Order: sequence, then structure tokens, then C-alpha cells
Amino acid sequence: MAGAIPRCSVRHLQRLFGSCSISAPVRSVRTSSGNRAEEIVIPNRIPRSSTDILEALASTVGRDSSGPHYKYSDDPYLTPASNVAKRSFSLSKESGRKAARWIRDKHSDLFTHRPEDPFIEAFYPKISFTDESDVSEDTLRELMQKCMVSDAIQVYQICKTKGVELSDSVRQELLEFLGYYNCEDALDEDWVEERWYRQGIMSRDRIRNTWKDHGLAEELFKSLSHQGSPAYCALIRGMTRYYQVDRAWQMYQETLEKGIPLDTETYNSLIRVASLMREGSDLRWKLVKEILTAMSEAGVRPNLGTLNSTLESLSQIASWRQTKNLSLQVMAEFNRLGIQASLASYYFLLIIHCRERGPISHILIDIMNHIADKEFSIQDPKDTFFFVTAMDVCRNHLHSKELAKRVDDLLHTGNNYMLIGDSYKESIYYRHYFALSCSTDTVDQFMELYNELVPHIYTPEPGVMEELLKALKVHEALEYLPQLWSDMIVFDHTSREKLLMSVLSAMTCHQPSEDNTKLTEQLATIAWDLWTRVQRMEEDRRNKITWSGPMIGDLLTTLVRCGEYSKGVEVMQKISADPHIVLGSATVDSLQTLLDAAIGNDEANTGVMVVVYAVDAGHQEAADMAKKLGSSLTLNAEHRAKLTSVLGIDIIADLKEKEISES
Amino acid sequence: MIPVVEAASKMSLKCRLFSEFARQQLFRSSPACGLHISATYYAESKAVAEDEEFRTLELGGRKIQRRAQRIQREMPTLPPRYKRQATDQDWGNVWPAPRSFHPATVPLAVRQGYPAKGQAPPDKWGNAELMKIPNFLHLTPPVIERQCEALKKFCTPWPAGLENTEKQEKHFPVTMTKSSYLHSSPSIRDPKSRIVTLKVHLRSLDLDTHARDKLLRLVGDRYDPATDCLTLVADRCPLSQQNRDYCHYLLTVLYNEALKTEPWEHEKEVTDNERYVWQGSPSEAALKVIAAAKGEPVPEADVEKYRDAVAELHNEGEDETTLAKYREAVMKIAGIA
Repeated sequence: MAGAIPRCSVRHLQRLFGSCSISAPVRSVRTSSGNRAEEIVIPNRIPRSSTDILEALASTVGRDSSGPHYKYSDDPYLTPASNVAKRSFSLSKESGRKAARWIRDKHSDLFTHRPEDPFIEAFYPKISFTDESDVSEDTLRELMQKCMVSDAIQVYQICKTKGVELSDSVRQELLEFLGYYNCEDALDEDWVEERWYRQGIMSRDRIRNTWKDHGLAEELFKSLSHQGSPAYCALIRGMTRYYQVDRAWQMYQETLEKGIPLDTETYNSLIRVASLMREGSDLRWKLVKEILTAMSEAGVRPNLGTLNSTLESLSQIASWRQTKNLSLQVMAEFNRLGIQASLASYYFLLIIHCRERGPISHILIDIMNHIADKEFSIQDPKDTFFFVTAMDVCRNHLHSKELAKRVDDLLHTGNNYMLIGDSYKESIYYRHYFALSCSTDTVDQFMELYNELVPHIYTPEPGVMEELLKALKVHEALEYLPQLWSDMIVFDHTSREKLLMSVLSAMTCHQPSEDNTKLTEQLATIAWDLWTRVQRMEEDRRNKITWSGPMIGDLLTTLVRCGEYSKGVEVMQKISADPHIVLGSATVDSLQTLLDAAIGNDEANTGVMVVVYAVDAGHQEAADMAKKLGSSLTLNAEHRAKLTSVLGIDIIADLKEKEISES
Repeated sequence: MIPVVEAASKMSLKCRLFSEFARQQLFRSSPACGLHISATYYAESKAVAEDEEFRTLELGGRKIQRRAQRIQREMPTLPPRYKRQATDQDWGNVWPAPRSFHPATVPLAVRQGYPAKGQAPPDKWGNAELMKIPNFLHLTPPVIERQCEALKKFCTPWPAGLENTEKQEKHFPVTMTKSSYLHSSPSIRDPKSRIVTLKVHLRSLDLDTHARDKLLRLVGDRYDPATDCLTLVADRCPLSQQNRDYCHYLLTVLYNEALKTEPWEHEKEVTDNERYVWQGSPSEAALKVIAAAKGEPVPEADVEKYRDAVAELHNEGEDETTLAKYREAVMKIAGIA
């Protein structure tokens, strides 16, 4: 017989274990010691999703402009700096991913090892459907969930041939799905770089009717047992999305006749394409008003989409004199309804009010006052156009750096940077910001901005670079020229003739003195580097640079003035020997500078060469130059012979006579 | 070109060689080849053959025509990143996560390695030792502070009434420990995560001497006398929940068994005792004999002292102090000290 278990042991153990149970919602433990009812209250665990901690830590990290974007390697040799390099690096990396996916899908029989737990579907080959596959409604639903259009169509065809019963609800879903995608696969969401570099729809003349008439979507529509409101809505929305406006309008009339109610989004889509259905601003606006009235009569509540599509139609008729007032009225009315405007609405307002040929409108200031310091998320596809357009307005319409700074601050609050859109919009945004800063700020302030943004956030295009160089020349801030030159090398701008011309002409403004010897040296190095680079270019290159007369002239002037006389002589020798490499000939001023330097260094050979070249070039001052040379330096017979052969015997004889007469 | 030139001069030869190689590997452009000398050679020989009637016999080995070196295009590179960094920059944005040391990004002029004779330790460029060791550049104090601030919203306050270890032990005497493992792999499973450890202090358990002795005999090695801590480890079940329940069960059973007294426990013999008890031992009998031989009874204090000394000798073991104590006690009894 087992010994008696003390009575207190059970309670004792309960006390021990009760304290470590975690099943109760609020854990509290009462100790069994006497009168003190000490209750330990353990607060509940704060619920968090599996990535909340990571997101919290990520929110502590910001962007550092000294280094490249995280998708590039952070190494001086591997970081791309020019726009071409950045684009090709990111797209080639993505092309590798695409190749990997293609291999995986092509050789799906090789990828059968599945060690993961839980199973990760994205790692495994896509299931391809053949006529023998076992498909059902659920397969179709799953494919729609994953946005796989061509696979869904294939499965639908298989279902039809096999005679699998598809309910009306799945048909309706499929109709909506195909209407949205127009029976074509959209670019996979995984290809982020391709999406980033895809040219945005900045130009508005890409509107063509691409709807597949009598395609699968319409077939589905007809196959529905009862074409009710959801079916008509889906079809109208699909048609308007792909600009099949005539038939969409037809469908709309059908719904009016049959008395079928439509939902908000359908009305919005009709308003959006109203401009394509009428000619003439007042008729277009009349149509929009018609649709809006129909909407209110049907008792359908408008939403943000209604506001944005109304403003979009107005932006299509922006040249009408009433549009500005109407747009403000529309904004006010929707505000009264309690609908918050999104960035797309502000974008349309900017288009309407800040037109190229029209009075200056300060609406952007009011908009910025309204939305400063707010965080936005994407609510409308056209939200991404706001920042580019705002910066454009700041630069071209208002010429206001303060406003541009406010727009930039708004862009950098919270997660708003995600609304910049794609790489095209980002580059245009920064281009405007840069150019504005270049024209309004002092050179030092501008160079601060330059150092912040270039090269990792924005690489200037050649056009912008040209403006920069012009600005530097105008403000005589040549101490930044070496930095710009090294940046130009890295951005691969050294094969552009205009830029080289700007650099050379900027350098001629430099006056060497005692306190800027370093800069003088640097400029001389730049000039020589420029020369060697152009000379090194292969003959059969597509855009080989040919020297022009002014360019060579500026080059010579810079080299001589900044103390590289011997290099200047080398250049001179080259152009004397092969005058065909220069289009035109070196300018007279540069030749005279070189001549003076030759005289100063007591080099008659060089002097003669310069004079000979000047004569060949047909400069009128050649004779004077010869005279100067003759009077300053002693010329031996060879030199005199050369001079005689090009000028005629007079000059030297004249000098001799003068000497004799003077003495 | 100025910044690039400065950078190049600062880099060690090793790095430049490495970078040349890297450049060649990565930026291999179409070769701007020189002449194919072999073509002209063939043309020449053909011309010779046509002129003379007989072909000349070439017995020598064909000279290996060397192709002209591929002209590598100079790829312009950016200056190293540390040159663009301000002294008051936010380091947490530059080095946000654990990363192998990279000399162009870290602005410190660190050196590591055994110096060659008469030279400084190798600098950071191309320094494999700096790259091999783990660095904690991602955990500078300001960054740690910032991350802690960001994580505070997931933390609940420490419960009131559990401020120090005594209170914690009083209310929560049992500690359960479990580990989970994260791998850089698609699977989240690891068999080691089923192991559950239960720790409890024996002073928290309500045990009398017999129960304590029995419990200690039952658990054996799992008890650590230094910390008075009983540790139970369970890994026999596939799931940690099951192992946890098993630990609870095990503790319950041990406790209850310890409190019970089996009928056969009275068969415990003197040799089974966990501690030496002087009363009733041969040593006591011997002392009685000595006392009888002496004629007079031994004083109580001496007997107690002798008892303690013998008990200590047996229980604690023989060393200087215990032997000294024994000697003193014996001499006292013998009447010599």
C-alpha cells in the first residue's frame, strides 16, 4: 500500500504549476500564504504579426545619400553611376531572375525536392494545364486569385470542352477578371525593375482602343443566364478601361432602357472617358453633368473615384474658359459631401490651372498649405503624377524655390516617397528641382544640393549638365569645375560634343593668380585629359567627336594660360601636322596667346609653326603675328625661309629694312 | 579626374590588382584587337609560293603568333564612399544591418594583422583578417537606443510585485525553458526545438528530511547541491508542448513518491545512510569502552566535540581541518591537551 500523500501536496503542486500556465487570458496568481491576498497581474502579450518587429526596426533606418541604392553593390568599382549603367545593372539582375524562373518552369520535372515547411508556393514551377488536367471551379477561382490571366482562360476552355459545370457566380467573377485585364497577362508583380523602368503614361496621346471586340469577355457576358447589374457593370468598366467608348456607351443606353442599376465605379469609368465621346468642350461638360445627374437620380453615392474622374474629364477640356471655375466648384461640392481629395485630384487641378499659355496661378501654394506634412497612401493610379507635375509647376510656372522645397519635404515625409511612381517620373522630378535650384540659388547652395543628390539619388542628364556648366561659367564659380569634370567622366558624358564645348569655354574664363594655383593646375589637368580622351576615341565610333575651331582655341588658351606650355605646343604640333582633325581652325586669340608664350619661352620653332598655321587658316592677323615674332626673336635661315614661303618675302625684308633704317 | 586620382594613390597595390581583375571580369568590352599577324604571314607565304616554282619546305615549328593584347576599356569608377561621408552623419543609415567589413564604406583608418618587419600593421584595404572577423558596426549605441525605442511598443510593463529574485521565486518557483531555432533555409522546423527544461529550487518544495532524501535518491545527477536546483530535461516527445506536460508530470510524480514511505524502506541499513550518524555507531561503542576503562565518565562537552569531529571526518572527508579537529577531540578525551 502506498504511503499517504500529504493533503497539502496537491494544493502545493497546483500552486507551483498554476503559476506557469499560459492558457488563461489574464494571468494572476494568488499565493496561499495567509491573509495577504497578493495578486500578481501579468499583462497580456501585445499581439503582433510575423513581420511587425522587422517593420519596426526598418522604420529606424533612413536613406543615406553617400551610398548607392540597396539593390546595387556597395563598392566603388561595382556601383553604377551613369544612368545607362544603373538601368542595365538593375535590368540585367532582373533578367537573371527571369531566366531562372524560365528554367524552373521549363524543367519542372527536376524541381521535386520540397524540404520546406511550411510549403512555399512561389518557389515551385507553375502548374500548366492541359486537356487532361482535372480542373474545376475552384481551380478557376484560385487562378483568378493569383491574377494568372492566360492560365485562367485556358482552364475555362478546358472546362468548356470537358463540360464542367460553372456556376453563375464564378462566371461573373471571371467576367470581371477578364474585363479588368482585357484577356491579356499583365506584367508580373515580381518584375519590379521592369515596372520601375517602364515608361509611364506621361504622354496622353497613347489612347487607343485596345478592347478585344467579340472576345472572351463578351462571350462570357452572353453566356450568363441572366445579365444583371453586376454583369453590365463589369463589361462597361472593362470597355471604358480599354477605350472602347462607343460600345460602352451603347451598353450604358441598354442599361437605361432595361432599367438596370449601375454602381459607382461604372459611372466613374463613364465619366472618365466622356471627353472621347463628344467633340467640343461645352458638349463634353454637358455629357459629364448628364452622367452625374443620372448617378444622383439612381441614388448611387459618389466616391473619390467620381471626384477624380470628373476632374480628369475637366483636364481634357482645360482650354475652355469655364474649366477653372468648374474645377473649383467640383472640389468644393465633393468636399461638402465629405470626400477627401487625393493627390490625383490635386494633380488634375494643377493641370487645369497652371497651363503653359495662360495666367499664372498660385493654386499650388494653397494645395501645399492644405497637404503639408500629411502622409499619403496610394488611392488612385494617377496619384503618382502629382509630385512630378508639382515640381514642374514650381520650376516653369512659378519659378519658386521655397515652394519646391516644400514639395520636396512633403515627398520625404513618411512613406510618401513611394508615390514618386517610376524611374522616368523620378528623373524628371529631380531634373526640374535641379534646374530650378541652378537658376535661383547661389552656386554654393546649389552645389550643396548637387552633392546631396548626385550620383546615387539622381544622375543628371546631358542637358541638365549643360545648364550647370553654363551657370558655373556665368557665376564664375570655376572651383567646382574639377568635381563636375570627374562626375562627367563617371556618367559617361565625355563623348558629347556640346558638353565638351561648354567645359572648354568655361575654362577660358579662369584668370590664373597666386591664390588659385591649385585650381589652375586642376584646370590644366582637365584640359589635357579632355584632349587625350578625344584623341583616344576610335576612328569608327558612332559619335566620334570632331574638334571645332572654337574648341581647339579654348583648349590652347587654357593650356597656355594655366602653365602647361609644353602640352599646348604638343597640341599645336598635332593640329599643324593633321589640320583635318579640326573642323575650321583655331581662333586667332588662342594662336596669339600661344605665340606670346612661345616668344616668352624663346622658342622660335613653335612661333614659326603658329604663324604658318595662322596663315594657312587664313587669319588676317597672321602678318602682324609674323612681324611680332620677327621683331621679338632672332630667326635663323630655316625659319625665315618657312615664313617667306607662306607669307611672301616682304615681311622679313621689311623688318630688316626697318632695322637698318633705325640703326 | 582629381578625386579618382587621389583615391587611387591611397589604395594599396593589392587592392588595385584585385580591382583590375574585377574590372576585367565584369566589364569585358568587345576587344579592340590589334592586327592578326597570322593573316599577313599566310599572305606572305602564299606570295612566295606563287613567285617560285617550288614551295619552300618549312621544317621548323610554326612560330606561335601572338595576338595583340586586348585593349581594355578604362571604366571610370567612383571615389570610395567614405569620402562623401560627413563627420556628423547618421551611421545607422550607412550600416543598417550586419555586414562584412568593407574598407570603402567604413571611414575609420583601422589596421589589423601582424606587422611585417619594420612596418605598420596592414591597413584596411584588402585586409582579409578584418573581413573574416565579425564586426558590430551595425550596433553602435545610438542605433541600439533607436531600435529599443522602436520596439518599446511591443513590450508590456514588468508586473508589479515581482521586483527582485526572492519575490519572483516566491510566486513563480518553477522555470520552464525552451529554445526555438531560426535557419537561413526555407524550413522553419528544427528537432532541437522540442527540448524543454524545468528548473525548481528544492527549498520551494515542501519536503521533510525523509522526503528530501528520497527525492535526491530518485533524481540523482539532476540535482545541483551548489545551487540547490533540480533540473528536469525532457526531449522524448516530438513536440515541445508534450515535453512540457511530461516535465510537469515528472515533477508531480517525484514529489508524491518522495512524500510516500514504502513499507520496504524500513529495510534501510546503516550502510545505506546518506550521512554518517555517530549515535549507535561503533565509534560510540568504542568511546563507551574507553570511558569504562578510564573509570570516570567523559565530560559532555568533550563527547559532543568528539562526536562532531568523527561525523565531520566521515561526512566532509579527510583534510587538514577535519583531521586537526579530530586530533584535538581525541586528545581532550585522552586528557592530554
